[in-house]
Order: sequence, then structure tokens, then C-alpha cells
Amino acid sequence: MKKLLRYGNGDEYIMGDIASIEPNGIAPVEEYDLDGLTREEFRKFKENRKDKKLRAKMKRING
Amino acid sequence: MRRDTALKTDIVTSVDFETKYEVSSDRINASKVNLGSLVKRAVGGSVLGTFNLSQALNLTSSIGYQTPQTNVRTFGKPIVGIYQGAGTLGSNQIYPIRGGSVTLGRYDVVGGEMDYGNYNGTADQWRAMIIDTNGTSAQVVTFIADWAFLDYRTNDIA
Repeated sequence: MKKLLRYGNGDEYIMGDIASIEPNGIAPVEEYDLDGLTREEFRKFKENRKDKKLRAKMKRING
Repeated sequence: MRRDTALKTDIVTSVDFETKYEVSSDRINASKVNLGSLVKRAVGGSVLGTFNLSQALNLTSSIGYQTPQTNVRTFGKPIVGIYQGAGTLGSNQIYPIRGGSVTLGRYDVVGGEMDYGNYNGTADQWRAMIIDTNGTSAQVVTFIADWAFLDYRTNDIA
């Protein structure tokens, strides 16, 4: 599952892509499911994480 | 051709198929197979992280088949690099080999292939942790990962 992790200071990390990075030992305050995005939408989201249309498609799964 | 239980007499030494001909079979027995493009490279892209929140960052990369082949086990070798700052300049390389602009001892990288506690049975993986020995900081690091993998299904890889 591809996820967007949002941390307390506003930092966001994408998990589940072939390459991913996240803080160790710190829990995210919000998590979103990115599997609902198509491959093309996911690529666009990585380029512009502020895209409101794509953000609206993301399902919040935690936090 | 002959039955595999037949005596080895009068064997047809070679049969050429039309190049666009696809063969599908439940099982093929062969003493020698030449697979020209079995090993492929998948581009994973790069990601950035900082030590703002934590002195350590988890670096993870995995490769698996996409739907409908998600239950197929993948096998590959990770092609990874970690760099100080944004980008992949050789002098800024932290891992696997330190570049000239990186202070010796600044970072610790621990980990490697296949995490016993995390492996899901299908996706091949590389998991490591980088520690900034200076503590939490605004330092940016770049993690880049591709995969050389055995492509025995030819469907999409992610």
C-alpha cells in the first residue's frame, strides 16, 4: 500500500513507492491511502503535492 | 522434436518459430534455455528527507509485481545510493562509498536486504537506517533506488 504520512511539524513523506524515506521512531499524526490514485495521478502527485483535486481523492486512513 | 521419454535418436536440432510467435504452456522441460532479456532494470526514483524530526531516517525500497500479479514473488538486486543534500553528485555520496565532500564519521548507515520482520513474502526489499551523528538537523539527504530484477512475468513492476 502506498501511503502519505504527515508529521506533527507538517513534513510529509510518501511510503510504498519503490524508494521511500521516513523519520525513524516518530509516529505520523495523519496517514492517507494513495492506492486510490492511478499511476499517472500518483506521478503527478509526487511532482505537486499541493494539487487539490488529487488530495481530494486521497482517503484518510489514520489520525 | 521428440517425446522426453523417447530414445535420443534422430533429434531435430533446432526449430525456429516466427519471431512474434508466443508459446504458452503449463510446463517446459529444457536442458538449456537462452533468455535474452530476463534481467531488467526498474527505475525507482529518488526521495528527499531531513533530520528535522528525528536523528535517524528509515530508507526503504521494495519491488513487486502490480495487479493482477501481486502474488508473484520478485527477486532482484537493489541499486541504491544516499547523498548529502539534494541531487546525486558523486562528491556528496554518503553510501555505499563516501564522497570527498562528506565528513568522515558524520553519518552511520545500517541495514541491508530483506528484513525478517517485514518481508511480505512477495516483494523484494532493501531496508536501512541512516543516523546523523550530529543529532537532529535541517540537513537534507537524497535516497535513490533502482532495481535489477528477474523479469519472468513481464507484467508491470512497481
